[in-house]
Amino acid sequence: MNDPLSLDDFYGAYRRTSSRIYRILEDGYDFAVDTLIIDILARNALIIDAAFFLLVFGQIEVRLNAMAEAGQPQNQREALRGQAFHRRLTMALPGNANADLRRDIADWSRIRNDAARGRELTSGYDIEAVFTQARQLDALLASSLANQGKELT
Amino acid sequence: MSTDIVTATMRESLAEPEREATLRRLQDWRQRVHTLYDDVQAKLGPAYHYDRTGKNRSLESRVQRAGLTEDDVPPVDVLRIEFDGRLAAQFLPRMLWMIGGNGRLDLVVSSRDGAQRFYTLIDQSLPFSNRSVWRLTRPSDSMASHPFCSERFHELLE
Repeated sequence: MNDPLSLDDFYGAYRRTSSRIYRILEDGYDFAVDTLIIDILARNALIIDAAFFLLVFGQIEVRLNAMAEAGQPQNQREALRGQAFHRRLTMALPGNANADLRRDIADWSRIRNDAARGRELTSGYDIEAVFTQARQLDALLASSLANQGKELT
Repeated sequence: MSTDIVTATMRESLAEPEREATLRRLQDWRQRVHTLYDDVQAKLGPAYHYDRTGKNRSLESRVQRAGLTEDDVPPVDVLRIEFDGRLAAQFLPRMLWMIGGNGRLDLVVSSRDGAQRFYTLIDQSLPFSNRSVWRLTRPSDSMASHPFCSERFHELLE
């Protein structure tokens, strides 16, 4: 199984993993002790959501890296991978015309970093909305790449 | 304000919470949830018994970071719906601040044979857009979600 993973692969895996937690919740739900079981399982679901949030952003980062590296000589591509995310983002999406898009992606990156470091800035995620937005973002990046006349390597 | 809910909620979550803005968000959340309950009750009608004495006060991290105490937080009703003396459904406010949504309620529906079905209701509207867009999902079954339609809510209880 060497095919690159896609957002659709992650979405399918998310659905299967998350649904199991909620099946346990339904099977064991008791109105008399509702708060306890919901809190425990909601915590598990939140961890799964955060993990998939990281994976989804990873896909966007792969796309951005490819964009930053497109057209660069091989030795500079390798050097780019060691650069800070902000630097690669600016190379992938240069100029004032991309300022809003860069800001949106930088926000994703900051949320991702906080989730990865175990900080709890948010109570939860609507992962379906996150996937929808990620697909739109991915398509936008692909379109931007095409407009730059570059090809992914 | 961003035009999509994911970007808008990310941006809000990255900003340091201010006391007054946080209170306004909590009051808006209470209003939206109570409007939904009012609508559900109106559509289900008098055949059901409604109990909204239970209260939920958000203890989310943004509330605490904004310096609000539990007493500052506007209480949001828990809605219990009973039919023939048994609990048929319960709406529980779960969270206001989340990436990708403008608040979430949990909905537990109890069928006559005692089986429970668990749903989430997420408002997809942008903060302070004055028009809720509730989406219903049964995460154990499928992540596919549907617009929440109070006119057809009775079908979930049958």
